[in-house]
Formats: sequence, structure tokens, C-alpha cells
Amino acid sequence: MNREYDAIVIGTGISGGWAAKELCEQGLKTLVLERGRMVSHGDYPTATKDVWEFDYRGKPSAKSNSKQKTQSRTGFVTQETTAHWFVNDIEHPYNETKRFDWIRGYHVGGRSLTWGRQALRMSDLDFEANKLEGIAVDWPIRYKDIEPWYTKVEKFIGVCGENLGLPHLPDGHFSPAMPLNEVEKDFRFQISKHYKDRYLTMGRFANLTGNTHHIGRSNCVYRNRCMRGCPLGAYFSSNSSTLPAAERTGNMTIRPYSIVSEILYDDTSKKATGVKIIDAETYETLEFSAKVIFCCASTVGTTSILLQSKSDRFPNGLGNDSGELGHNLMDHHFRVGASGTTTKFKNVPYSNNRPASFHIPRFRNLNRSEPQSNFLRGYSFQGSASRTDWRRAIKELSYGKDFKDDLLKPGPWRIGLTGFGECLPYHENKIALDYDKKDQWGLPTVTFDAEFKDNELEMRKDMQEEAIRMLRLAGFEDVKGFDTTAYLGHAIHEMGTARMGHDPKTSVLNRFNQIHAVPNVYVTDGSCMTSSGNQNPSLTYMALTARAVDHAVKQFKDNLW
Amino acid sequence: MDRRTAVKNIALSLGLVVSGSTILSVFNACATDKTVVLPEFFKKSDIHSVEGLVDIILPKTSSIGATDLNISLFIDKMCYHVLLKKQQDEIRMGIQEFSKRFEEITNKLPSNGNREDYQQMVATYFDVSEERENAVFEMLENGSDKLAENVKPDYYLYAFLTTIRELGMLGYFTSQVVMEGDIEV
Repeated sequence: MNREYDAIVIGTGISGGWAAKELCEQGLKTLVLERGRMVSHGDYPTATKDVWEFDYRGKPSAKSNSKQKTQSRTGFVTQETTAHWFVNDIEHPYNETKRFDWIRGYHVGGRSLTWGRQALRMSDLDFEANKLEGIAVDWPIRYKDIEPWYTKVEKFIGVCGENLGLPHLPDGHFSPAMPLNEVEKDFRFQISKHYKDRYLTMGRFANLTGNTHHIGRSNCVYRNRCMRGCPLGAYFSSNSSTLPAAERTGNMTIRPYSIVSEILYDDTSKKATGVKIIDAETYETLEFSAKVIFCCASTVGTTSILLQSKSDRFPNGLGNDSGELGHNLMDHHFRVGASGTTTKFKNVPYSNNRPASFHIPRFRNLNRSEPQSNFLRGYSFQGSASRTDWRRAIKELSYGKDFKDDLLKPGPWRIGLTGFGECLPYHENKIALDYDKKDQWGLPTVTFDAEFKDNELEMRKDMQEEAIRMLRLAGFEDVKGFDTTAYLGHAIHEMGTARMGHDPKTSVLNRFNQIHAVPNVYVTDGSCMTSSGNQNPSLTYMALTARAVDHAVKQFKDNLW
Repeated sequence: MDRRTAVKNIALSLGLVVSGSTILSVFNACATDKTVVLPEFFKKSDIHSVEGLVDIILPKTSSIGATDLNISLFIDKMCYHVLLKKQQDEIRMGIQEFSKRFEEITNKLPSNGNREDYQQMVATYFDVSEERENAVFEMLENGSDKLAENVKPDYYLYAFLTTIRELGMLGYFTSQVVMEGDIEV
């Protein structure tokens, strides 16, 4: 196997796929490394199974759950339908000073196969917030810097949705939105009637609708089994979209089972020269060289590799002059909101199979000239209404003929919404490496020490109150609030730990995602985030990656490396 | 005959190399034949109670019932393979408690109980006020660790009854025939 390349991409998830596609399409011979197994588009073993075809009707067995104890904290990813997309926690241990739910999949495509597919742009309300509030450090970019890259990404991945003209949730390049059902339409009407600053819109999802042709993919047919992998390629993933695009160029070499243990640094040239890997199956150590390296191994994965990459010049990890590497860990907080029922709309046609939810964009703290809430930043809501099924009677003691006959019919409509709240970047929320506890490849394990603080907890109170208030105002009955204890990691939106910033003394990356002191190493996954916003972050990772590759290729072609 | 032995013997008698899918189809065929499949979790005497209960909870009417689908064996499989150790222990305690109360109420062993007896048992513990129903689920959610000793028998009884009910519903309503609407008797 060739050991020398123009570029190396570490990771094949949502960011790595984009780095691979863009680098290869620009003509760079690119080695793409993945620590887990190979998954080609279509290798989705449960994609077409019906519930009765699973041994335990989709529920995880005690035996499989014993191997995925941490993954099962989510309550859904370890079901028979998707358990194979998530790691074995015994084989991939980590440590928790404070609870952190590290939910991940080690295979080609990573979590791009299982992501929530919400594709929301961040705005200057987000990019300016740290500076205006004196929190952490300022983002080194503004919306105008990333706007064309959002558009480029949306055009390629295919996002359906509705433009609203809101400055804090910028419009995008969308195919037709999936339809709201009648209950959701009524909720939308009621919200507009009662609030001037709140909107209900169909969520912006990376599922194909409309007439635009996407190579090798077809429109969503509402199977609502996206997390299993879609044989139609109807939703965007690395496997269905970016990696095939990279493959078509003939410039990509992909190597699964390749655990990057270190990025190699040469202090004479002040640049990285390549990577050292451990073959996950043979335990063999190999080195590959390249002129540019893209770190896309996920927030915690990338920062672990950088922390492991020690040298005389960087004794605390590659690019860690600031001491911020590993710090400022964030995740969205959610699972707080409300639900309600309605006895109306019994006779309207319906389907519960739409693979998308509605969205109520942020409405708190939008205007700095107006009174602010008792917390900084804000949250949005995601939710849906559907007819209830037989599960509505689980917490009852009913039985017999009438019970059975009733449950064979659709039940009343139920609507639910959960908030997604911003988490501030706290220096003390961090990861570190434990060299006393090593994994089977001899690499140090990660220790998490992070928690949500007063700002997030205050926000959650408001999230629940407002969810209840909106549902009641809209006329729903049996409205109940909920607030499940929030732990970082649970939203599977981990961010930060190698933040972007203006100043090398306080940040790890510059405005083009280059490590300040090692300019041929780019970090474009969630670790680069300077703040979290409340928006699902994957679209931003993809846009930043495409933008960073554009910058890297110019440097490469100008022979700066 | 143990079903694994049965499969092996069938394969040997036919001189076949048995593939995974063949084994699966033989198992499925066995699953419709109550005389072949043995429970893995419940004792043979207890599976009669499970069958008696689900027959009352999801009876055969103009549409098929739980017994038509061998739901008791589905429940057994779920208890054996899906429930965690602590839950399994609670179910075992629960069926003991159920058997004890069955004898007290019907003056029969559960294995000798008929449909009317099981109807009486279900009515005794399921036909309760909404307040009592809420209290039962609250008790189950809180777990048994901090319960007073004199309340624990009730806890185990309802852990058993509600698990049978819930798994019975899961097995019935997610079965192919019910989901495809082919349920008329």
C-alpha cells in the first residue's frame, strides 16, 4: 500500500466525508482513515426488516445490552434495529469524573448514518454572542464567512424545508418541505395567533424531496427507518453521498481498521508530516505521510489524537500552546418540554411515518435592546403530533374484548415538543487522557469531567414552562411537562475542546480551522466549535470543512507546503 | 423433546447441512406447535398461568387472541433474553405470589385453573380504581428497594402481572398478522 499522499483525512463521519470529497475533487491524492469496519452504501442489515422479523421485536437483549451499557443510556440506539451502529462499551472504555454519555459508532460513515438529519444554519446572533457577552473567546468568523459554504453543502446533501426570513435562523437552499399534519397546522396557526415572535415550521431535514437529481440517490419515501441506513440514499450520509463522490474521482484510498495514534510533527519545517496508525485487527503500527492533514475523527476522537501527539515542541499535545486543548466541552441539553392530546381531527387522513419533526426557532434573547431572560442565549423546540397506537395503554390495567378492540384502532392525537438549548463554553468542562488506563491498543483512555451549570438549568425551567404554555394556549388537553435529568453527551452533539479563535494564546484553531502553530493540520469536526448555538450542528461542521478544504487546496497548489 | 434436539434430529434424518435460515424456519414452525417448544424462563407449570392470563387480557373474539399467536411463549422468550437479572428475579417472586393468591382465591392450583378462574384473578387485580392504578404504577416505578416488607408481595405480584400484560401486548400488536390486519377469526 502506498505510504505517501497529498492529504490524509482522519475519520469518515459527516466531516470526514466532506473533507474526502472536496480534497479528492480538487485533485489531491487522499488517504481516508477510519478506525472501525468498512460499511459500503447499502450494507444496512436491518434496513428492510419489519418489527416482527426481529428476535425481540426490536428490543435489545440483556446480553447485547450488557456490552452497550453506556450506549443504552440513550434509551433508543441499542435497539435491535440500530445496535450494530454503536460501539461495544467493553471494547471501547472511557472514564467519567462526572457522567458523560459518549455515544459513538466506529465504522465507515460514523454517525452520519444515524444522525438526526436536522440541517440548521447558525447566524450572527450565535457568532457574535461570546464577544458581546464576554464569554470564553470570540468566534473568528461571522455569518458572511460561512454563508456560501452553507449553500454549497445544502445543494449537495439536499435539505428540505421552508424559508422564513428570520435573521437568527437564516434561510437556505431548500427543496419542498415535508408536510405538517392537520394537528401541527392548527398548532402553527395558534402560535401565530398568540405570538408575534414565534413560528412553527417544518424541520429542515437532509432528506430528498423535489426534483433535483442527486447521483445514486432517490427521494424519501417515508419509511421512517433512517437510522438503520437507507438503501435509497434518501437521506444524506457519508456512505450514500460524499464518499461515493470521492471514490468517483479515483483519488481516494480508504483504509478501515486504522486507529490514528499520533500526528507526526517535524520541528524543522514546523509542520505535520503524516500520521502513525495502529491496525485495529493486526495491532501492526504503520506510518503514512502527507502534506496536509484533516482531523475529522469527531470532537472527542480528534482532541484525543491531538493530546496523544506529543513532541519536544508540543509536550502537552499538538497545537496546545494555549492550554485550551481538551477544554470548553459542550453539548446541547434537551429532553425537556411538554406533551398534550386533542380529541379533534379524528377523521382526517394521517400517517405516522414522516421522518421529520416540526421546528419552533429560538425566540428568547433575540434583541439585545430588549429585556433579557434570566439566562443567556436561547433554545428552540422540535416536536411532532401523531395518532397514538397500542402503547398508549401500557400504563393501564385495562384488559379484555373492549380493550383489545380499542387498541386495534388508532388512538387520539398526541403532540410533544422538546427543547434544544445552548450550552455555554466553560473552561472547566473538559476531557483529559488517562495513561494509567489504556485500551487494548495501548492507547490512553479519555476521562470526562463536565456538567451543565446554572445558565442551562435556568434555561430548562423556561423551556418547560413555555412548552406547557404554548400547548395550553393552543387548546391541547392533558398537557404535561417533563424534564429528564440532563447529562452532557446525551444529545450526541458534543462540541468544543479545540476551539477556533483569533488569538493563539487562548484558542487552538484559526479562522480557517488550521492549528495556529501547525498550519497544515486542519480540524473541522465538532471540536472546532467556539460556542454551541442551539441548532443541530452537523450542517455547520460540513460547511466549515468545505471552507477549510478550499483554503487548504489553495495553500497546497501555491506550494506553501 | 427439546427444540434444539428436535432441529438437530430433523437435520440428521434428512441428511442436510442446516443453514442459519433453515434453522430459523424450523424454529418458527415449532413456535406454532405448542407440544414441541419448551419454555426457557418459566417452569412448565407456570407457563399455564401466563397462558391463562394473556387469554383473559387479549381474548379471542371476532378477531384472533393472544393464544392464537402463542404469545405465552413469546413472553417466555422475552423474559429469558431481554429482561435484566433484577427484573427476572422480581418476575420469579411475582409468579410465586400469584400462585399463592390463586390458591387462596380459587382453592385450586394455577395449573388446574380454568378460564373462569383466571378471569376472576384478573378482575381481582385489574378492576381497580384509577387511584389504585396510579399507585400501582408509581410503586413499580420507584422500585422495591425502599419498600416496606409488608408491601413487597404486592410489588412482586404487580411486577409480574404488568410485565405479562405489557409483553403480551407487544407480542400481539407487533405480530405480522395483526400489523397487516389479517385478524378475523
